[in-house]
Formats: sequence, C-alpha cells, structure tokens
Amino acid sequence: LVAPAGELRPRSLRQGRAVASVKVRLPSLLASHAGGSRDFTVEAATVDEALAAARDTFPGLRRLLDDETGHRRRHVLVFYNEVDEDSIEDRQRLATDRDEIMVIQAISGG
Amino acid sequence: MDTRLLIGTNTGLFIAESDDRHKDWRISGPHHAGWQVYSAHGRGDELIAGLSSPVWGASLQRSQDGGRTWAPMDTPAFPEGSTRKLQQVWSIEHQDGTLYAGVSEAALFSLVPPGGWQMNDGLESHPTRSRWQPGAGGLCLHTILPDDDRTYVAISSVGVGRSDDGGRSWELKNEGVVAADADLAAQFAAEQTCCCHKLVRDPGNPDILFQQNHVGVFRSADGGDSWERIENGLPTFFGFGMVMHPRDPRTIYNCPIISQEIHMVADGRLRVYRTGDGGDRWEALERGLPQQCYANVLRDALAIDEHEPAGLYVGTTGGEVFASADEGESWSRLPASFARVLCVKVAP
Repeated sequence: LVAPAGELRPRSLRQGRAVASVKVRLPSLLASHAGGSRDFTVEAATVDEALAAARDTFPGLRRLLDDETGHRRRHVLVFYNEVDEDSIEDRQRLATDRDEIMVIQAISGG
Repeated sequence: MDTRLLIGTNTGLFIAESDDRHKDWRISGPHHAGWQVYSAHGRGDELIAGLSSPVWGASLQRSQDGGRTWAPMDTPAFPEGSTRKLQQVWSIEHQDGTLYAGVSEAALFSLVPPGGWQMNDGLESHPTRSRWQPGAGGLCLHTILPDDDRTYVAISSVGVGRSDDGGRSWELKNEGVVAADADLAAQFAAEQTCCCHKLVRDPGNPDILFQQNHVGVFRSADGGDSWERIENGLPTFFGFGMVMHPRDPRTIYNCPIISQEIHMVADGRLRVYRTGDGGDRWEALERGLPQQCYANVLRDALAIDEHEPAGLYVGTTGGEVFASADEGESWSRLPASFARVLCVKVAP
C-alpha cells in the first residue's frame, strides 16, 4: 500500500526547503496533552517527517503513542491519509497540505 | 479551615471542597475525563494528577491555579536501554522542595526543579531486584515516606524498603511479616515475596511503623527490623488502606477487606477501624457508613487531614466517598456518585 497522495498545492519554504502543513487529529483524551486542542498542524517535507512531528510537537505526546521501546502501543492506531502508518511503503514521499494524520484508539482498546 | 479533596477515579479527577465541618460540598470535575487517576497531590494552587490508561500509558498533568487549567508536566521515564515500562504513577509526595514519584514497575523517582526526574539507582540495583514480582495491582511502588535520615518505600509485592543513606542503598525490612495461616505463609515463602499494601510512619519517630499487609496488620518499633502482628478486634487481617492520625501516632485507621480472593469490605458493611493505643485493640467506626456495602476500598482511598479534630475520608470502588469531621465517629456521604474511586487525597 502507498499512502494516497493529497492534492498537490504550492508548498511553503522553511529554511530553503519546501514543506507542507499537515493536519493532525487526536482523540479527545489526548487534547490536554496537546495544548487543549484535538487538532494541530505540523510542517514537514516528507511523510516520515510529518509522522515524527506529530509525536514531537508537544512534549510527552510521543510516549502516549509509543512505548519505551519505540513501538506503537498495542491499542493505538495512527493513520496517514487513512492508511495505517505501518503500511506506508514510501515514507520519504513528499507531504502535501492536504495530508492528514489521525490518531485513534483501536476498538480493541475500548 | 477549608477542606479540599482530590478524588481520583476510573474516569477522571474530581475536586471536592468544603469547610472543616463538611457542611456543604462543592465538587468540580471530571478533570481529565476518561483517564484513570491513581495518584494526586496538592499544595495550595499547585495540583498534580497521575493519569494512566490501558491504551495511552501513563503521564502527569499539573495545574498551577487550583485545577482551573492543566498542562502536561515532565513524566518519569526509565533510562534509555532499560527494559522496564512505566505503567502507572502510584504515588506523588513532596518534601523540602523535592517531588517524589512511585511508579510501576517498582521504581522511585525524584525531581528537584528545574531539573528533570531522576530514577533512584540504589533501588533499581537492589540485589533482589530480578526476583521482584507484581501484586494484583502490578509491581507498584505505592508508598513513599521521605526523610532526611531515614526514607521508606513500600512496594507490592516486595514489602518495605528502608534507606539510611539518603536513598543510595536500600534494605528490605520484612522480617516477621508472616501469614498466620499456614497455607498462605507457605505460598509467600515459596514465592519469596512480601506484599505490603500501605505503610505509615510516626513523623516524630521514624522507627515507629505500621503496615497493612496482604497477610495481616503489623507494627514495628525498630524501623522495620522486626514486625509484630496487631489484629485484635479486626474482623479480617486483609485490607489495603491505612492512615495515621496527624498528631497522635498511636491512633491508626484501616479498612478491613474480606480476603485476597474477595475484594469486598468485611461482612458486607463499610466500616473504618481505629486503634487508639498503637494497635493493641481495634474498634469499628460505622455511624453514617452504609451497612450494606459490597465494594472495595483501595490502598489510596483512605485519607486523613490535619484539622482539629481530624477529618477522615474513604472512597469505595462503588463510586461513593464518605467524610467524617470528627475523627471517624460519624460519617456523611459526599453528594455525588463517582466511578470506581482509585484515590482520595487531602490537598491543603
């Protein structure tokens, strides 16, 4: 599987690099760990950068998604444009302004 | 003098406020709705809540304005390369500018602002560490009694740890903590465990200890070097919570539970028991408490404040919290139905 590409839009420049603004959506329980909002955006050049930025924009958020070994927690799902992040074949693909990362609790965790 | 309680539940934190007579209660919450709150700590406007979730793990949140707003705070983390995982923050204590956190899996952390959390290496490198086994609630370091000269921790199911050198090294102090029942004693001996459920200490004499253990109620007059069983008047030896009167170290309270198999208050009656003579004799306190009750009282759901007379508080897994403004003689129910109560903490 390849994460479906969002509609290509003009990408902004950051320190000479073209970056996209990728929206991150969180479940309500994590809003208090992300400045009180369930949505925020990250600037990233690639899908891989965006997934990392989604975890690192707010201190402590990464540890809620991934355990101490760096593996995603058992009942946590992270989708990039509706594709499970573990199924993305090309994480170096350029991110676009239409891309979206969604963090959700798996049904198994409910 | 006002009363403020932090009530941690399975579905968030609640703040209950009243005067010292508990005439009216104002309850706010849930703060951190959806999170389990196993630990909480409050001093003035600063509140800290230990959140955990089977999905998202554990974290700390802090309020600097008495609970109106919250923000994440640095959370204890095992060092890089450690195989241990942070499961829950069970205890948050404060002494002389240092914040302490007890966590599962069985670790003690300290934080001196503006630094970050530091894991206690002496405990982690204890010679018996590889044999430590979890109790039903996990391998939790649930009690921290910090002191300049002599610090204690209590871990389920490891027992009591004592440090006489500022936390650099630790000794386990479980000698004499043995089940009266032969089968239970044999089981604990075979598993080489000791399951302290709650430990309290005389603030004026750090040698004087009391503990509610998995296998009974005990006292020590020598810093845990030896323990003596004290169960005269108690309906069962099993239980979780225990608190000491703030001005009378011979007055201790606990809440008897049926057994390790049946986590329900003894005889189906919610009763807090009190000894006023250092454990020679226990008496039931039940006026105003439900005498048909089939819930449990967890290890941190029994609390006492420093009012004169002291206020007592008990929360149940059935979601009720009861308060006494007269040292346990009479009780009244807080006007709310909570979820499973995980902790009740006094926040002066």
